[in-house]
Amino acid sequence: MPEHDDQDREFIERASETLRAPEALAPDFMSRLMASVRAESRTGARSLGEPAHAVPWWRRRRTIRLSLSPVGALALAAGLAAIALIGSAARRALVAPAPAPVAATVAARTDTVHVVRFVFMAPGASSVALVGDFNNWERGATRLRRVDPNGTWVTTIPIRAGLHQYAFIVDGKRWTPDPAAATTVTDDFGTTTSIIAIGS
Amino acid sequence: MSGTRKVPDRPATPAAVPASDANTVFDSLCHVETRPDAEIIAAILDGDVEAFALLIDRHRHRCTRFAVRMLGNRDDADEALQSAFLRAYRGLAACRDRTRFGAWLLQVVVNECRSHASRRARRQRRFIRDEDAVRRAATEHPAEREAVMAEVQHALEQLEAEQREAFLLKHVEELSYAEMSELTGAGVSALKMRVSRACARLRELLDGVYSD
Repeated sequence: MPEHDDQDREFIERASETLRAPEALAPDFMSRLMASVRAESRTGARSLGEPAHAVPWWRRRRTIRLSLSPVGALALAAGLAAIALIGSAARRALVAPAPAPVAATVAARTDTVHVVRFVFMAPGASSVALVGDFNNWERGATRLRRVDPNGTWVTTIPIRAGLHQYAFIVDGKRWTPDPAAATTVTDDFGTTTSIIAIGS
Repeated sequence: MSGTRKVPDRPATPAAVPASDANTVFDSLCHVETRPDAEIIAAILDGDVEAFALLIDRHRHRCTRFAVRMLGNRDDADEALQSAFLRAYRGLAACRDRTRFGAWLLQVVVNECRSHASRRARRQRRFIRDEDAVRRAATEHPAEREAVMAEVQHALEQLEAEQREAFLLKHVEELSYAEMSELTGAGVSALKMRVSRACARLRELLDGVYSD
C-alpha cells in the first residue's frame, strides 16, 4: 500500500520536524556546570579518566575512618557547636519571622561533588535566595528561579559532601529555614538554620 | 601609546568597563573557536579546565534537545545534563575516538536520562498530565506551532521509554541504526522494531494534529 506508506512517512517527518525544534536551558546552566567542573578539578586527586591503579598511593582518594573515645567525641561535638555558634552570630542581623510553606531538597549523588536541587514553595514571594556555608552565606550568590505559577522556586547547585547549614531568604530580607529539613539548629539569638547531610 | 586599538563599528564601551578590559571582551567575542574536538580534549586533559566549556557548548544543543524530549520537561533535563556533562568531564580520557566526541557525549546523556527516568519512577514522582490543560494549550496558545509541540511532546511521553529513545535517536537526531546500536547496546533488529512501534503509536495518538 504505497499510498499508506507515503502518508506514514509524511506524518513521521512532520512529527520529527516539530521535535527537532531547538531547546534552551536556564541562562546560568553553563556557569553552574563549570562551577561543578572547577570544584571537581580542584578536589579530584587523579587525572581525568586515569585508572586508579595508575595513580600513586599518595594521590589516591581514600576514606579516613576516625575512631573517638567518648571523651574525644564530646570534645569534637563541643568544637563543632562552637563553630556553628560563631557562624550563626555572624548572621544574626538577618533574623526574621519565617512563615514558610513547604520545601524539599533532593540530592543527586556524584563521587565528590553532589548536585543538589533545592525546592522551596513561596507563592507570594518576588524573590528567593539560598544562603549556606557552601556559598559563604552570600545573599546574592544563589538565587532560586520560579518555575510555576504555584510559587515553586528551584535551584540546583554543586555541594561537597558533608553536613551543611543553610536557609532561604525571601524577598531579600526574610530569613526562612527549610520547613522540610530533617534537622535544624537554633542559636542563642534565635536564628534557625536547616542542616542537610550530603553524601551520607 | 594608549594600548587600545581602533576597531570599526565597534559597539560602545560601557562606562563601567575599563577600555583595556573592553578590548579583551571584544576580542574574545570575535574569536571563533576552530580547534577540532580532539585538540580541545587534549588541552582539557592537560589541565585546561575552562576549555571544557567550549567543548560542551559545541555539542550541548543536540544533547539538550534529546534530554528535554526524553524526560518531558526542562527541569529534569537540566539536572540530567548537569550530571551527564560532569560525568563526561570525569571520564574524558575514556573517550577513545576523540574525533567522535559528539557521539560519545550523546551516549553519556542517553545513559544519564535512563538513570534519571528510573530514579524518578522509583521516587514515584509523577507528572500528572492534565489532559484538559494540554488541549487548552493547543487551542488557546497564540502560537500554533507551540501548541502542536505540546501535543507531540505529550504523545511522546505516552510511549515506552525504549521506544521513545529509539524514535528520538532515529528520527529527531537522525542517527543510523548502526550508530544507534553502538550507542544503546541494543541490536539493530530490536531497534527497528522499537522505532516501528513508536511510529505506529504516535500515529494513533496524534491523529488529527497534522490534519491540514
